[in-house]
Amino acid sequence: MIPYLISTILMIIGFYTIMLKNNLIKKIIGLNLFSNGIHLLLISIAYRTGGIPPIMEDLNFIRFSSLAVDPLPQALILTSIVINFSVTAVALSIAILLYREFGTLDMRKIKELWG
Amino acid sequence: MIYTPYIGNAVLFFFILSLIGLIFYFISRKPHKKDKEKQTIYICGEDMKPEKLNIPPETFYRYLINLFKLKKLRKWHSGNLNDYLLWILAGLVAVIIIMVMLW
Amino acid sequence: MAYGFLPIGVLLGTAFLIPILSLKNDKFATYTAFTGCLAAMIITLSMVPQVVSEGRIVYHMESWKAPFGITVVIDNLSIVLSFLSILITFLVIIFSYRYVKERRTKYYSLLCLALVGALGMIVTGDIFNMFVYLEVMSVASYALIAFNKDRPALEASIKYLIMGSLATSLLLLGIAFLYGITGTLNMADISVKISSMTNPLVGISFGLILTGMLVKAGLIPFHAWLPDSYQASPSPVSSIFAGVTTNTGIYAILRVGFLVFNSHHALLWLMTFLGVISMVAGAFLALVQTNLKRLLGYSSISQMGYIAMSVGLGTSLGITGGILHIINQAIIKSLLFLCAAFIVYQTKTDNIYEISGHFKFQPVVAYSFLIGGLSLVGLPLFNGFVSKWLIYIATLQINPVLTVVALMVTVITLAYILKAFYLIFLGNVKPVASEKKIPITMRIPMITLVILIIILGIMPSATIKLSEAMTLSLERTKYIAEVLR
Repeated sequence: MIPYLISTILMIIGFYTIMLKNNLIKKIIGLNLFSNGIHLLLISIAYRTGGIPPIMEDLNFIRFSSLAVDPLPQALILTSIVINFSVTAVALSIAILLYREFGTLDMRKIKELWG
Repeated sequence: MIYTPYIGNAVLFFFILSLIGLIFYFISRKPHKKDKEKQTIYICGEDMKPEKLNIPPETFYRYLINLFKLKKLRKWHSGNLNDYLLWILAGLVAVIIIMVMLW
Repeated sequence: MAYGFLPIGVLLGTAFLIPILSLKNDKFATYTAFTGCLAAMIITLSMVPQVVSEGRIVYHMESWKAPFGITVVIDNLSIVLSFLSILITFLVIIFSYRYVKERRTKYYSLLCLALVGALGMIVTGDIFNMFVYLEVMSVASYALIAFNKDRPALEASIKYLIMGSLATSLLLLGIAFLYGITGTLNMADISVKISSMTNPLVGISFGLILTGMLVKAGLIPFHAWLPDSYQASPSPVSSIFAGVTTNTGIYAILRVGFLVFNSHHALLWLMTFLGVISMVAGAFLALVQTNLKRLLGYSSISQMGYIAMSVGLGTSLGITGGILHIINQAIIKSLLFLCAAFIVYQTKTDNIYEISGHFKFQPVVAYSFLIGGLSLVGLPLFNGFVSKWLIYIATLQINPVLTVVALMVTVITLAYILKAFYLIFLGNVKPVASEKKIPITMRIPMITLVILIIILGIMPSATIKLSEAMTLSLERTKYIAEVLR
């Protein structure tokens, strides 16, 4: 129960940070928080109380499959962590270029394209 | 490619079209003089100066824009990122409510 | 022989080969990208006879059977859309030979990566694989928009980045819920397991997935990134956006909605509602724009509204019209954006009130824009007429009010297309227009797309037969039977 609660709190804090904070770096950190909340949710779906890591070593197959935790969401989370890492890298490099051009990182002041 | 009647039909059609196009091209290359009578303005007997007939393109759609209040719609897209994210949040809540209610 | 992921593999290899081969000279980037795209197009064409004869190619990666491995499903809809995407990218690569003069390596590499993402989304049969390719396409797009590194480009890119990343995170949340309920990630398997469930969590997860994909497709109220991105990116890249990226977004909604969630009436009602709003608001907002590329961006939102409204009707005629309109508006919008790209290349400005009188100097561009615009409105003899006619008849069978709204929006489409055409091409010659002759590499893509428009328009029965074959491939039971065999 506790991991689900913490992951919901992380997602809400991340969402609030993206929506209501004005600085660009804070929004990028909020994106990271939001995705980490989703990753925590995925891992806790896969968990099994008293389970063993899903590496098969000289065990009966039926006993193994009733004891091991689910390995599929772990693969999903690894993929998603790599994707989020690359998106954060692109976002931070665009933030550096934005600061050079505009002189500010306040998203309320960067509104030249409108209409 | 297997020959179907469609292919023969299409080839014949394009051939005839290109022939007609060539005929039009060669006719249009001949120099022709402009007829003064055809270029005067005729509005069923009324007299109108030619400046009044020219509609300036920038203000052509002003009537429509004022009728539908499109300037206000344009001002809503203010360029502020927080407003856009609020739209996405409102859309998300609406979509989830509709999905859960009608499931 | 089933080639599966081979076009994607070839393009991915090209995208990573371009930086290596162009260390000495920048022009090798163009040649490599050209060759790679041509190879991918030939491979896709060689799969067509087998798809026509068998109906569907199902290819299991590494021979893992259906619920355990990733499947690649190539049916009529997938192969037509993937061939269209590769063709549009190929034409844009030919066009950018003269347009992009510096940092060519990064440009062509990112272009090939965006195409890889789009192709992967189209052919996959696994929902998490679709999420991964969506991210590949999105990250390549974020970098491509910011290519010029000036003020509008950076602003448009950061806004698209934040909105797009939020959307794909919501998509991942929906996939996580779906995995928690069903225990599998294969789309056919999820479809079988969901059809006997009444858990309200299915509705919530579908709402999250749908919101994530609606942001990419560009329907109102999730459209805010679209006009800025189309305005600020380099002009051939806007052509790729309109023809490949946004199209793939709406294809993903179709595939997930009709296959996994069994075209539930909630989805259909939502698509029609959002479609009507997008149609009307997109057309009205395009009427007040002063920037040419922004005008075409709002027009793209309006066309997506047509597709969504027509698909949401639920009848077979409606879905046929909607799918045909996806292909038609990809071709037309790419042509219009290529014409706009040439105008920006010549006059260095995209404000339509500053350009005037191009018709005398550039007849090829003027006629291409005219044909594209008239086809968008739905004049007979062009391909826009076929799809719009199907949409009108389909809405007439359900509710005539929708037909009246669609017709009014067509009139407003004509209004803004004529405004753009008149202000750019006709009128007195301003000193910005010049007599530079259009290069041959910019002429060939425009003429190819015009020929494609005319061919699809002159033989409407063949076009309708093609789109009916594509509609049949969205049918749920045959798909599940062939994948889970």
